[in-house]
Amino acid sequence: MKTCKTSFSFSLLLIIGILTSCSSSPHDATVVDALPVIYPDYVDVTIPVGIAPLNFAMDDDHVTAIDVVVSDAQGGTLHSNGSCTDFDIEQWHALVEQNRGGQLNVTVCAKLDGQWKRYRDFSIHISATDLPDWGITYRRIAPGYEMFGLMGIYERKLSTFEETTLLDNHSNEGMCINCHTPNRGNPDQHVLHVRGGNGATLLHTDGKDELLKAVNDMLGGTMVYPYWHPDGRYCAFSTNKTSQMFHIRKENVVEVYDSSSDVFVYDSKTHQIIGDTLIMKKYWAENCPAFSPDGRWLYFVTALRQVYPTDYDQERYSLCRVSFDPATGHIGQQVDTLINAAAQGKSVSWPRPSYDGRYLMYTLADYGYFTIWHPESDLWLLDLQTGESNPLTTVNSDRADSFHNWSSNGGWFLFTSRRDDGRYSRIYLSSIGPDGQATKPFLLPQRDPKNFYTQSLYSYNTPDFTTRPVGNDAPAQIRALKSGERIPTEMVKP
Amino acid sequence: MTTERLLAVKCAICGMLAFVGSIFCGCQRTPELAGGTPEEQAYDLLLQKGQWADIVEKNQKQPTKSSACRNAVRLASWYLGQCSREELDLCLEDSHGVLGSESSALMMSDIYMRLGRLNMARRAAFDAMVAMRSEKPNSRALKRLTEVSIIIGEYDLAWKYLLIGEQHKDCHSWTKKLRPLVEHPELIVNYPSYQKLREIHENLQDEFFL
Repeated sequence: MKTCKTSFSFSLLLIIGILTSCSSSPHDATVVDALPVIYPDYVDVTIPVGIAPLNFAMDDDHVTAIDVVVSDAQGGTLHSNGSCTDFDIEQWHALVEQNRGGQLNVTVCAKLDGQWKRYRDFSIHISATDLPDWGITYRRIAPGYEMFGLMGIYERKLSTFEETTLLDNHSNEGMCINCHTPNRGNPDQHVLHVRGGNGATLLHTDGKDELLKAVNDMLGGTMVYPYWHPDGRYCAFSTNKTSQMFHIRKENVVEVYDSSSDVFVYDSKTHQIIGDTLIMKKYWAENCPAFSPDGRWLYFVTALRQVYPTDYDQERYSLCRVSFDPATGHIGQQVDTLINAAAQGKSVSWPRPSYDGRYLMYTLADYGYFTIWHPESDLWLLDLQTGESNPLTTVNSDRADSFHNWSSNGGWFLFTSRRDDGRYSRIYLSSIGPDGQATKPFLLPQRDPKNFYTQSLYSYNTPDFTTRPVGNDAPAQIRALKSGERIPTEMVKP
Repeated sequence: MTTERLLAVKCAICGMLAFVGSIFCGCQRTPELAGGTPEEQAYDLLLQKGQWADIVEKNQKQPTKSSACRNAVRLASWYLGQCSREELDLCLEDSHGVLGSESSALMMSDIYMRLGRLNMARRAAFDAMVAMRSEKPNSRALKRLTEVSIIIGEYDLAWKYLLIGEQHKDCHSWTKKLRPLVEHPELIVNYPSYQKLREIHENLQDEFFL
């Protein structure tokens, strides 16, 4: 049983007492000239005002207790003692708010083999840039290849540890629920896909849910990876015929690939699917669509299809864009290649333009687009003003760093990473400064993160920010899904 | 058509079938089927005990229609010297439709493990873990995930699975046995069966299973 206690004081005397003796619990502490190895690694991270407390524990499981003091230059302190920290939420927020644009100092003592050790202090930096969004949404799913288990879409309040279920398959006939995608964090417009017998594409617009027929026969598939047009009328999708095959030996374990894929735009007013030969080219696999923030461009990636399994590692996606006219719904006449990944021997996926139009973040891997299974996949940032593209070196790890999205003000982004153990995706947050440099990311806080993440057999998928609680009517959505009533879509090509 | 090309075509077709199968089979299975049929459970028990002759005899009396049970029969036949390793490997190459229940996934995980196909043993164990749609992990599958992680050298994962197992009483028999190995991976030399599986794995030529 965890015993984590917190007290709060602005008393200078108390701070001095704490810093000199490392609180009443630690005694005769040996000074260690090294930073503490903590989980999660919150050493020198940058956080926004309003984020939930960054609780942590020592990484070494043999440590029986830690004693932590968080202090600022004005005399504010937080103290926590136990097997992990458990900072009081309100007191944490007060201390962080008072240090906007500054930093907090963290003093850690740890008890190992009955002896206390005091480590070198470290800082937590408080960004001057707000993270205005209320929370985040994501899917949690356990790994499964031929079967799937419990899964759901959840929302998480960023200022606390509170998580709410939006839709799950715990209490119904085992639906397979796919990516929930809001329009730039606005839950008034969101889309998700449900596979299987009750399959549908659920589009929420104008205060109501519309369940579209899962498969359009003319399209030849389902509506898979979505991205909303900023005006909310259109939503771009890919349609993918996805397969998987398993390595008998390699570390990569599984290859997920598409035998075909195309990109199209869905018009929510007319229920029409707008296709075009430029984004549905024969022998080419278009994928991962995303609209520019002004709605005038449609970004996507495309690769020459390969023969599987022999050439599985030759499918390399380039970043392209084509103009889009929201007044007519027409797709332009010419495709621009922004990054010729094939020429570089790399593969681009998941383009995500920042909402101020300055940057485009993407994932770069050696081949393919299903980057959560690629340990080499990293996040890169394309400066749309200069055309320069650089890796986010402070963010990337030697394990899969992938699916990302921007906060509504473009100052922050989140992404998934398997850096913990190579198998389970977790959510990290980071910010981009005016110089285009990213800050050291921090793992999504939990009340007892070490226990929480260690005991979890779930991966986090397709996270995004949400400006406020989604407020969906899950029972009504499940009833609608079970009803079988679906709106057909119509395929149009200019 | 070249052999390579044929294999590519076969892979593409089977891959698509597997994907479609995963969508439709996965979504429509009932809780009863998720655990496995009585026949699958019976074969699984014989497989765990290594009763090869009984497996072959059972199939001779009433040929099984279950893909996983058929693979158990093939493995038993191989152990009894009734088929070659090449024949066995060829039959196991396509795992489409085999992992349809908890019992079948556990059975396949055991079969792959016995043959040193660690990635496939792990893949089947993951499917066994999710089959019942329960928050409580399947002890046997979790043990397999731990074993494979140790043998492959993914110690972060091995540690994670061990700690999860230690939270569940029905896992304690194997967590006690494996904890020293997770804490001190170099002790694998004292575990000949794991050491042998590591050698087999490290000497495998990479190829694809479907």
